[in-house]
Amino acid sequence: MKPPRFLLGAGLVFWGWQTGFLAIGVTLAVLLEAVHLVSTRLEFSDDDFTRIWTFCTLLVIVSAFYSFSTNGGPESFRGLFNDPNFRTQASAGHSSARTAVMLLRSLPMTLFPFVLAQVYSTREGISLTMVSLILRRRWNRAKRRGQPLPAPRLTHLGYPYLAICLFAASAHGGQDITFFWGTGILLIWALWPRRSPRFRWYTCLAWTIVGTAAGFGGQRGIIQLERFLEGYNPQWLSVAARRGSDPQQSQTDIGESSRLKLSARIVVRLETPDHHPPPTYLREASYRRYRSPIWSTGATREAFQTVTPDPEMGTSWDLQPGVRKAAAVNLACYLAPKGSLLPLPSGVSRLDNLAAFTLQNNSEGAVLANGPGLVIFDAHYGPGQTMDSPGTADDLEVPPKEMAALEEVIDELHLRDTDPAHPEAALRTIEQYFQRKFRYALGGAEGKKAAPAEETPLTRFLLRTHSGHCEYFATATVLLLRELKIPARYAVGFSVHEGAGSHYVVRQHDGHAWCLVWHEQGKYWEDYDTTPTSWMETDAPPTGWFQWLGDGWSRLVFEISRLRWGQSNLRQYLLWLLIPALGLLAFQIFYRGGIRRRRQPKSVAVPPPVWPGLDSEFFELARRLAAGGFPRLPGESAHAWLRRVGGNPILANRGIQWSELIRLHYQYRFDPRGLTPPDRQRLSEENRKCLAQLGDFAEN
Amino acid sequence: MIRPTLSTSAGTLGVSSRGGAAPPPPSQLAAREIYERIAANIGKVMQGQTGAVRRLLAALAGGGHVLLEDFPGTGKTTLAKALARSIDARFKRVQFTPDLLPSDILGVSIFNQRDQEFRFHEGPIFTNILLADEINRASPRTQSALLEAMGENQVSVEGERHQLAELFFVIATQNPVEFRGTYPLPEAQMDRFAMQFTLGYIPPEEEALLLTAQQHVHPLDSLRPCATLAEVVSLKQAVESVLVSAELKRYIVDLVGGTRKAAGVQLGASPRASLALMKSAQALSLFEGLDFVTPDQIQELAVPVIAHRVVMDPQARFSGASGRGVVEELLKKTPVPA
Ligand SMILES: Nc1ncnc2c1ncn2[C@@H]1O[C@H](COP(=O)(O)OP(=O)(O)O)[C@@H](O)[C@H]1O
Ligand SMILES: [Mg+2]
Repeated sequence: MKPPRFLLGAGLVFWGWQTGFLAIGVTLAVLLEAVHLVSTRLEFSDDDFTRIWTFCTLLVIVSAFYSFSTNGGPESFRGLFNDPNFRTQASAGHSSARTAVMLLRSLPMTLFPFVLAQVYSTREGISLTMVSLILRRRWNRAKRRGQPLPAPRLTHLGYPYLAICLFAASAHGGQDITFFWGTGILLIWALWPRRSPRFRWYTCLAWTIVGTAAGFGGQRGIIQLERFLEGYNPQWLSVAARRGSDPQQSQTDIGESSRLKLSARIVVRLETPDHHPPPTYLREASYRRYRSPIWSTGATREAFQTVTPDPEMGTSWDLQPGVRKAAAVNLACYLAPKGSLLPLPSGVSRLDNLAAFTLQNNSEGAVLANGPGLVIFDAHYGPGQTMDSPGTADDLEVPPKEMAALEEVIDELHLRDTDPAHPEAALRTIEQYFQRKFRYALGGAEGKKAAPAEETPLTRFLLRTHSGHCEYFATATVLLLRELKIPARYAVGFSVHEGAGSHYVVRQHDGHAWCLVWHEQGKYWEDYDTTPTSWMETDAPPTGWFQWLGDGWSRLVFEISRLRWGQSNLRQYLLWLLIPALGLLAFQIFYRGGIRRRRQPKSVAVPPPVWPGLDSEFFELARRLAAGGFPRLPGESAHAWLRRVGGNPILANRGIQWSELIRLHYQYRFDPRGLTPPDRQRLSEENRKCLAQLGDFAEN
Repeated sequence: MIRPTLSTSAGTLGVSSRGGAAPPPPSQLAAREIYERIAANIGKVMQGQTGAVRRLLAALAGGGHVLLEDFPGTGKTTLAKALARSIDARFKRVQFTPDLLPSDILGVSIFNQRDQEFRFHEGPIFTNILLADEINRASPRTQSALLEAMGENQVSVEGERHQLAELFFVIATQNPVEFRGTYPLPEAQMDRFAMQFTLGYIPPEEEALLLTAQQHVHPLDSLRPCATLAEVVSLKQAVESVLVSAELKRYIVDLVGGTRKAAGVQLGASPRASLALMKSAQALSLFEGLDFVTPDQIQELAVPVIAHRVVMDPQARFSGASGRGVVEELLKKTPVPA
């Protein structure tokens, strides 16, 4: 199966053009195609091919070391070993990837000698035993045991080499349209001679054009499909599906007949160093203004401000410049294509290793990140100062409609004289009040029918039902504190309570609402949660085996996203994968000789031939021809074989007279009467004559 | 066995593939001459079909029947007639039609008023060479009657058995099975035929020669017998004395057995196929002047002898697999003794 004329040359030129080695590509192409101008062919034996192959593998190894060193491999890996951090890791990963790409790109050059040898040789193909040590050993073992030898499968190197050229051409920077069309044309060219003879050439051409157009359209279509799927990300990849992640406002379920039940999907994963406990809350946003049933950032609608990354470390972001916090946690969460609010621990000061494109925050402590679909980063946090704006008069606003109920509760709790600068006692009282008198329930509207028309849901919750979900508790608490002139905000995010040791997960149904209370003396905001802790069990749907399955799936999606968004070190390992391959090659080259030497003295006794005539000298000639690249196929009779290879100019020019040899051999083998002693003698002589006529062909 | 050593003369015979040291016994030499005579005689009529003639005579000499399958007008009838005319033996031709009855081939017992007893009237099957033309146009019942008789070399009519002639050679022709108005031969009985092969369209140069040859008179009309019945019987006997080595018998069995394990095959070839392959390979060896079989004769005849006996899975057949493909693949895969 030889490729059509000039196809390989065209493939080489295309490779050179795409990868910027045009001069080299043209030169190699000319060398290869010049074969059509010269009539001389070289006679390479199996061993010659093995030697050339060894030379090519050496070239590959040398080019591997060259690419590694030119791409800063040694320095970056030294850096990685000395100080394994994110930056050195990234740099090592980059140089590994660049090394692999460069190695791939140079393959048409490094393998060229082997292909050139094949093209200029008399051979119809190369047996795989010449390039594979394992195959060769298996072959030799079978031969020693006298087992029937499998057919040497001959492969013309043309098509594999073309594939390597196209593959290498694909390793250039941007995949523009020329690559697609160039590859398409070369493939059509390559496959054209193989088309089915059942169809006329124009039918084939028409279908090829349709196929190519479909391929092109398909390529476009795939890009669109990918965009579409990315657009769907929020559905299954992102936390954005959950309510409350709108930085401007939060629509609560207050007043609804029941709260939306949320799923057990894992949305955030946490890892703490040294089995430290995780942060209790991960806040996404906080709000200042309540207009039932909506909490919003306030009338001012302050814009987000851009956070600039650390100039030295592009993935570090200071949220509270100059503030250092002791605790750290590693967080993994998904980002929607249009950006998502990061779930962050209270008092977060700095984010490290966050590969976001842009980061913005607002005065209510919401951090909006744009970036890859998955981010994994370290958050430094601790009690005390937060990045939120200080409490102001806006944080004291209470809707007039709710005031009456709030006043009633304040009277009931005897809190009227609370000093806003020292709210501790009041906070304790309010917390106990909610814990003792209130019940957590997902439904929030019992008794609605009996309610007076003007009664607000919050009033109903405070004065009559005493039962509701976290949004009721948080809203009521914020407004109660404000009524006491203590600045307070409504916060949404997640509660962290599932996990152990260093690993924790947050599910969608762990979404929570609580309060932020202004600490006047310390000038910071503090988390304050009055929802009875029973909410966690109530909100978590009953788990079963399917939850276990779901978590497995979630883990899988997470790992795939990690690979997809480059958050794992996969690329870095590319080079390490190359090392065993190179080792194997080195073994082939340096130890092969040793193996042969060791095995040779142990000549294993060949089992006695079952059939008569197996000692015929003809097999000597057969071995010579096979070694010279003309092996007999398994289903080919000796006669048919000699007729086939005898037509090859290399052998025909030598004028070998083997008709008498094959006749005697056939009689020796297949005439049950065998040969007479004089004829047996002649068989031997005829063989010697033929070997002499063969001359130096495949001699070693 | 005492073996004459005529080694020096062997090379001068000019038959490169013929056994050298021990030339075939005289009977085999004579038999080969008979073959060449018949082949040359048929060649006077049939243009460009030497391969088909070779195969046809190999089947005849090996004691098997032949089924020619090809499109109308490719010379099937002509080839059969040319063979029949070349041998001075009884020849009958039956044109198979949908209304043909089994008794039209085998014969009938008729009550004779005068003798007050049944008398068997032999059908056309009682002959030496039978041309069953367009066999797949007859009903399966009639086809079966012929195939039964071919298998057993005898005919049973109303409990009475009638032996067929010692030289009984059926040469059947059929149009490709897809043709309209044909009944495919029963698959299980296909192996009554030792060989099935096609003639194919001949090259244009040969076809032009054919036009010239038949411009005025059909050469078939002037064809004269060139061999006697006794000579053909001796040819058959000479074939039986051609030697086959144990290794090649094993090769034949491997090839035929391979069809039973091949993918997509519902029913592989039977030992009857192995026998037919061996006998026809013996005949071919004799034609080539050899007194023993070599792998080349076996390979040449494997497809015409085996392929038509292989019954493919409907599914495999639908996806384009055929008995021919199976045998060709086996020929490539099965290691041949060298
Ligand atoms: N190879 C051939 N050599 C000589 N004549 C041929 C050949 N092929 C076809 N013919 C001629 O073509 C005509 C049709 O042949 P025929 O044997 O009746 O075809 P079939 O039986 O296959 O339908 C006959 O006149 C025959 O002589
Ligand atoms: Mg006809």
